[in-house]
Amino acid sequence: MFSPGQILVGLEIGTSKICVAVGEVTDAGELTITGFGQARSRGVLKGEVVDVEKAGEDVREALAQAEDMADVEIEGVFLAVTGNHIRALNNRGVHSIPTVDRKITEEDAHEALRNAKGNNCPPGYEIVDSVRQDFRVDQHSVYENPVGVVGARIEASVHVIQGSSRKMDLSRRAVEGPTPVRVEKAVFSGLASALAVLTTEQKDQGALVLDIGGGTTEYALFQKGLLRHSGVLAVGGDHVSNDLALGLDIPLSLAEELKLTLGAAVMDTESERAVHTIPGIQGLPERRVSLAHLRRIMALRWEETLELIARELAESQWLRQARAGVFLCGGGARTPGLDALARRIFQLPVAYGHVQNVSGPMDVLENPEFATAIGLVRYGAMRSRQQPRRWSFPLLSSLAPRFGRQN
Amino acid sequence: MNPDPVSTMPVPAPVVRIIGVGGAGGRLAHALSPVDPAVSALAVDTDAWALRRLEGTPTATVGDSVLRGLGCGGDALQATMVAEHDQARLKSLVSGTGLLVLLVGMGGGAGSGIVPVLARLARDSGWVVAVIATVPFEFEGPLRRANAHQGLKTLRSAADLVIPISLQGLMRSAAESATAEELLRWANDYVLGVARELLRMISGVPLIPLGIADLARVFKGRQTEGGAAAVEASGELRSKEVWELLRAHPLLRSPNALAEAGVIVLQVAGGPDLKIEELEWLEKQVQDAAPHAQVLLGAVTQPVLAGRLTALLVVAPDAGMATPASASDAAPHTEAERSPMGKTARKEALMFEDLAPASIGDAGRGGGGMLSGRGGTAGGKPRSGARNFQQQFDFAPRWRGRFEGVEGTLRGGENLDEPTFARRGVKLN
Repeated sequence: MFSPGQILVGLEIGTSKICVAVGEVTDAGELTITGFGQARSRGVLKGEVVDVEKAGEDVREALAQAEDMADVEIEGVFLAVTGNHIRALNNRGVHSIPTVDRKITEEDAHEALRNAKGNNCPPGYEIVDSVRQDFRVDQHSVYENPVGVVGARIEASVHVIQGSSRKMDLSRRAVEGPTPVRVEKAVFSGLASALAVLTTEQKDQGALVLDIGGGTTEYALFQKGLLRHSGVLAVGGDHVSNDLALGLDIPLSLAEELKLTLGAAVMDTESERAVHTIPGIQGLPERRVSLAHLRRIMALRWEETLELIARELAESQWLRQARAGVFLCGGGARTPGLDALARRIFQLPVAYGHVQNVSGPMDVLENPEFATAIGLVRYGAMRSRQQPRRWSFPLLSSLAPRFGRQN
Repeated sequence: MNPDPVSTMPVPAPVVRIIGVGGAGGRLAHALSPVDPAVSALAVDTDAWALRRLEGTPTATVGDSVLRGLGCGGDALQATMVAEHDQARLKSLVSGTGLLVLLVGMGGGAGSGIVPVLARLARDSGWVVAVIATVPFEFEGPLRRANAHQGLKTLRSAADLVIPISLQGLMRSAAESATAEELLRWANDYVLGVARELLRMISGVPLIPLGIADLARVFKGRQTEGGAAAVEASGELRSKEVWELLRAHPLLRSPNALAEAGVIVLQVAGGPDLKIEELEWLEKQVQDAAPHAQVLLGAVTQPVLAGRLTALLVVAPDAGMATPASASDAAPHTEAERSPMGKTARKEALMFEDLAPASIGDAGRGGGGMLSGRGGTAGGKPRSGARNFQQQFDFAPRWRGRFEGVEGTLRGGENLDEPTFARRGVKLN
């Protein structure tokens, strides 16, 4: 299992909040969250750092909290990245077997994977994560591990997540800038959330994880234990607040408050005639806001967001087979009625995602906003577990880890 | 005094109605009304004396009881109040339903003040409302510019489609020797050129149907910059000439204009001799030049266009991608003006803040003061320092709140940073 005693830190620079989770692998091989930190986020818009200085200050505040709580000194973090610049695609790479006996070696598999990973990466972009899918030998047989199989041509399939180097550098600078903390690895935030909330069985059965944040919504679809499809829609809770502020002609702060206290993702008959009165402040007259308008604005936005993701995933045949269902996490998952809406749109069972197989303070584990940070810790633990295996299957595990099978 | 203008109006065509609002709008309606007898044109103003000069065009004064036909003196707020007060009268002008084209010179009181009210009333009655609005010259002063700015802002939410045309941009693109009268006539012709081609969408016999509502639908919610061009050619090689003219048009000469296009609407009109091959060829040229754009093709025939071919091209690049073309883009444009096509073709409407310089009065100029000369042989002197970039094309409300000025989240031609309810046209009473 995990390397005992190892301290792993996950950091998510979210649009609304910065979340830090400090984890430790116990002697029994279990992952325990020993500290966490949370700070407001000011320099981030739609998941992307736009003000390095402010984001850096907030990151330091959250890290300091986590250090105090876990009583450790944080040296390195796994950093979640997201935003409109993230693109995910399934690539294929081909390699011809040069040896006379046509027996596929690790080198051959490595070469096919390398070809698959490198395809379609535009200038200015870098690979954030790549997840190995399957191998095909001579265009027909499908193998998880092709080493030793005889064939003339090996084809590797890899799910690759790419991101703009420039935008990811802004996130790294916010962490590394004035502090001695280094970024161990940037990880796609949607993948991290999925690692936190899905069990091995759910990944095998097929599951979709929607991480609904302040500025973005990430999605990750697993099937047969593998990440098959993922992506980001740069729309989140902030868009809902903004819609409310513009539609109801109220300040953004009030819109945010009304969203949290009265909001819902679906319309109901009770709210049709209900009116909410906002008391006047500083001599201003009181305002009356129609609950029906408020909910209509919210329902339209959430419906559109989920429909766009469903449309994106409809191209993949895996969604229909996601028998474990849809799991919602992130701050936006708290919106009442969002589960019913997701059930209607995806035509699948829907549940709120809870962190699995991790011990620690319940208030953190139960908080959907911490799913990504905890997922990053798990990512780190899985990554460190892969290191010893480098001798048995070195190139494949380092190039394209199979997160589906390991937790 | 005029007889009651409403009661003396001819029975309006059931589908298309043109209303020119304010001084400039009235004159535009007056100029357009004889073009197509099937289209009913009406001029609306607060100034009864200005309306008197539009002989032969039905007119209606607004706010008689308050202003006594003397106009609102450039006070857009007063014009709005008067229009609100006279809603019943305005409603009677937009009885029925169909396509309403409002022509207006923004900046004055009546145009800027009345048009948003009229557009809203018409839309509420079920009309599809398209507004073609000129934006005033800079020298006309801050009051007129403020009126125009405010009027356009209100219009975006009241109308289905707003096409603003910058007079300042036209002036910069004209030769220095152009007289004020030429310049204004030219500006009018720009508006009329686009309006005329828009009307053909409705009044022509549809081969490939494309309505104004299609335009409104595809452009709704776009945060884009773009333009519109109307060209015409005749003869055997007319489709090639039309394409050459469009390519020579500054809008398309810009190296990125088509490559960055998100939506392109191509409306082709011809006579009974219009061939499918011509449509296919033109569509292919546009699609090849803009491989990533959503191209909407419409085609109509009109007997009056026998032997001729006209095309209206409306281009809106994807939001966040439109960048001002460099000054060097002016050179190919100037070269293009020397195209031999100029003698047979007319190039009418475009919307640029700044254009590559050209002469108004060159050889290819056709009748009625159209912009035909821009395709002719005698290009004007380039004006030093002239820049060439496109004006904002305000099809939809720029309404993004906290996401204002931020790179948009684009999906399927929509900017998701704009409220969903606004993009879907959901009304909140």
